[in-house]
Amino acid sequence: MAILRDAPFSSGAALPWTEVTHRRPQNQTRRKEMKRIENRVIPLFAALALAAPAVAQDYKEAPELAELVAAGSLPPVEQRLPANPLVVEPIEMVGSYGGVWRSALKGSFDTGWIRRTIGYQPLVAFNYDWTEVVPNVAERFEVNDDATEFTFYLREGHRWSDGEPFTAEDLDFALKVMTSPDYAGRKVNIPLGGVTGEVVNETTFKIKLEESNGLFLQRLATVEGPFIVNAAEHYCGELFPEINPDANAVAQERGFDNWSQAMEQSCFFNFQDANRPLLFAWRQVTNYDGLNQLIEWERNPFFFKVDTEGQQLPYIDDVKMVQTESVEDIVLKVVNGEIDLSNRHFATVANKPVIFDGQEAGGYTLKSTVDARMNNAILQLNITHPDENKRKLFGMKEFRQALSMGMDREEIIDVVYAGQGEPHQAGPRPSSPFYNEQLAKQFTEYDPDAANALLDEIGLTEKNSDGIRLGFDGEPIRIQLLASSDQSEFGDIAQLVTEQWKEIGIDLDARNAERSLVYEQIQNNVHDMHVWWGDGGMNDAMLDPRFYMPFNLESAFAQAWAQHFMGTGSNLAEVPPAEVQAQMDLYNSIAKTGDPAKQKELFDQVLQISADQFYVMGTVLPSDGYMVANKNLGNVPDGQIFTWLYPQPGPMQTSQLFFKQ
Amino acid sequence: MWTYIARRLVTMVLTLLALSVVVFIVIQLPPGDFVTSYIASLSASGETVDQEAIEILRERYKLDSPVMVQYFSWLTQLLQGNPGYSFELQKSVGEIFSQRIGISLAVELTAVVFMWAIAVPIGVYSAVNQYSLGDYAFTILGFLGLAIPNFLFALVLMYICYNWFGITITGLFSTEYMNERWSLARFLDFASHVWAPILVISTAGAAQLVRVLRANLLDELNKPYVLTARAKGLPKRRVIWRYPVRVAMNPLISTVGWVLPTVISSSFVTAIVLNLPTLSPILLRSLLSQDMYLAGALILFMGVLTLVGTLISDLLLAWIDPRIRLGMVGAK
Repeated sequence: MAILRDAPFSSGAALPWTEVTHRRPQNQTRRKEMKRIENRVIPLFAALALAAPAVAQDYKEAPELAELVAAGSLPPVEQRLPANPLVVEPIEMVGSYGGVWRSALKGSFDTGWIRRTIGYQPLVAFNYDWTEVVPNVAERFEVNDDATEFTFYLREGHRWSDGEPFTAEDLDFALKVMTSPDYAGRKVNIPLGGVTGEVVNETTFKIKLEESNGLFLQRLATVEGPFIVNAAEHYCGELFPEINPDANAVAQERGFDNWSQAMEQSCFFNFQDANRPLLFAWRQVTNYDGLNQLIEWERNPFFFKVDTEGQQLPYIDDVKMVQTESVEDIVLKVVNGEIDLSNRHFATVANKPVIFDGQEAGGYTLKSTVDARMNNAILQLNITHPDENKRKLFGMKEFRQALSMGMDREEIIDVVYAGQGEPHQAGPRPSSPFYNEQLAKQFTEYDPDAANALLDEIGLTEKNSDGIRLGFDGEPIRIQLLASSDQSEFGDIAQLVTEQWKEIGIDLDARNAERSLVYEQIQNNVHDMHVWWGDGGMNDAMLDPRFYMPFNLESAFAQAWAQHFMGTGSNLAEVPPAEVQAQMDLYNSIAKTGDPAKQKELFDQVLQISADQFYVMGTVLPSDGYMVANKNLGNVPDGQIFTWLYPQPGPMQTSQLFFKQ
Repeated sequence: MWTYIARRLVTMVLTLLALSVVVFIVIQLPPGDFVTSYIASLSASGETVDQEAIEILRERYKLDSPVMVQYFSWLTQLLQGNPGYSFELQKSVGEIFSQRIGISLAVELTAVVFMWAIAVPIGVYSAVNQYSLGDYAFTILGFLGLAIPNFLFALVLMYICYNWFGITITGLFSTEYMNERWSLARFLDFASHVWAPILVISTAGAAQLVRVLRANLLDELNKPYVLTARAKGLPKRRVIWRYPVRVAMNPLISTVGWVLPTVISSSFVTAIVLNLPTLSPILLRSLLSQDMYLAGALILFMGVLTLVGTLISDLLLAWIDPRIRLGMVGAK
């Protein structure tokens, strides 16, 4: 096997499949695409035939692959599948082969959609209901009691999309790159300090942590997790100086600046390099580089999943994603029936009537999704403001409480959200196991009289001629809010709140601003207030509690404390007060236990402190969302949870989507 | 004449150098840098970036060094024929440029030619038949064209095409031809898409040209030399096209120079609404994400186009208007 692993790539660009596929030859037909597959696998075929284990199970495959097998240019399906393929229980029914899945990408950064649809083949995955972590690429896994040692058992005979074996060495390689001090690319949202890997044998891999981390498996299952199974050593190894001293030269040859950038772009998060081997159901045909307008994928003949009748997945032949610059264009494509399954970018409340009306003409139906976000807009006053007077004012719970009671959330719901949703603070959703009623519902009643009384009580009794209260420094209280101009709903809400707060003598200076300006302010901690939607409404509350405690850079209400928590050594970092520190300690102890019940108990305490502190003001709990699906598409889930960390629709197994005949 | 051109070329180089400074300052003006906007865009899709990654990115792109240092390293690279590296697209600016410039030129130059082709005859007709029914009709159409923003027109066109004919007119190619090489079939597909942006881009510009030409021509038509020519028996059509139109075209031609840079800039919004694979969306995107070398190169390129365009205008004017030609001899 060692010879096989080295042979095809040491000979470099001479092989037919290593040429860059910017422009494809004209009049390319399906047959020609298959020719490419043939070219890729012919060199392996002889070796595979010898090495293949005897297989009892009768597997079936797509007709186009069967043709290639009959022609002798592709190994039989039994030899392409691992010894123990993952059997997918269909959502609705067993499907049949064929068709193209069309969708759209916005701009050149939209890897999120690829990662949610095609790219969600992690080592371990979330199940459909988002209740547990289940094996995926790994056949099974074990965790020791104090959550410091994770053992993953891979499938025997599992292969990359180019036919090369996928082994524990590949996992070790990915981990080595990620933890290498010389790797300067983007990293995963998983604490990698003190993480080491150990190759036990070809199919067994152990990850050891210095400190217990009871959330580690969950993090591996999030949308960030697949990094560890995305980098094939035989392809990406050439870009790693520890393996290839000329890594930088290879990177430059492939059009990158240096090795770590090439690694980041083509092996981990992005999809710039269509040549790299993958474990996905479809493999990439065109580079997603911001210049190609159509990103194409074709069936991976080595995909490791079958349905309950032994048919190799995926059912759908190809995936085509059109890159476009405007959401309106996507909406038009939707209503014109040019999108087969998607909710990316266009599925807003505002667009719903148009998309609902277009169903019959466009030949699609709407499927519901359950929004896991707990808020449409969260207003975050900067509690760690560098200006002392503002810090004092914003830091008073009564002040925030008064502002919250001075907001008419029903008006916001009616005007901005077409009457859908309900008043809600920044707290986990009612359907979440972490629901805390105090956190979710306190101070949501619109009561300007009570708010005024409260403001008087804390000593803000003086007003100027415009009726604006004077702050502790004798200046009128003016809160500046820069709302990202690309999220138009924030601007609409801010306008309403501006009027509402006039009633309680607070001047909200709300402006639309380009998003980089907004983030520039937050990063330098000079903002008065920030508005963003509320991630972390369901099970992801524990993984990303950004609004419940100062947690990461998105915790704009207390950036200085968040910097302290992250331990970045930034000069903005500040030691927080005792109750906030208590939250941080609690959160750290969650990671130290592997027991879910104990984790929940500790996290409930974090949330209770959050409820008592009342850091941020929420507005509206989002109502259910929707997704469009071609009406002939089978196995489309209805009511799937929609959020970022649980990359909907990924966990439904997109490889089982099929077109009904 | 040749010395004049040579002198112009030298000034152009100096102007470009000055322009590069302005461009660089302008790009540096907005708060934040590429990393800030990169983080912002990641956060919009739900992701978070940790502090360490931010530092690494800043260091990688040398965003921490002083502006002067950044400028000079950019300039030196430019002079060596290397326009830099796009942070966002992770490609050399040259590569991005070469991939898109062809299609950009094809679309925009066709639009410019189309614009002139409809504007000149209409302008002449309106002037010659002043206050006629046709003049009023064209005037109304012209003002409509001027008044309706391009993006709105594009949206309306998209809506009409979808609603009445059931087609989406966005893009320049159908999906099956997007990644193909040029062929007759692809060209026909291109032609079946390209009319929409050309129509949108050219209408507004055409209206303006019509008004300018009409006003100028009206002035000329009453001049004695026209009367003389008519009195001597020259047919009306020949008189008008030969003399007053040539003079009336003067201001149009002197603005040819401004037409060239619009190859990139005029159709910004149109290109985005209609999802055209040209340079315009890339320029807008690079400005928004503060991808400074890409934005810088594109803006500088627009500067080059303006300068070249001005030179062409001057030469054209000299060719079409003898008075200017004589002045030029004097300038020698």
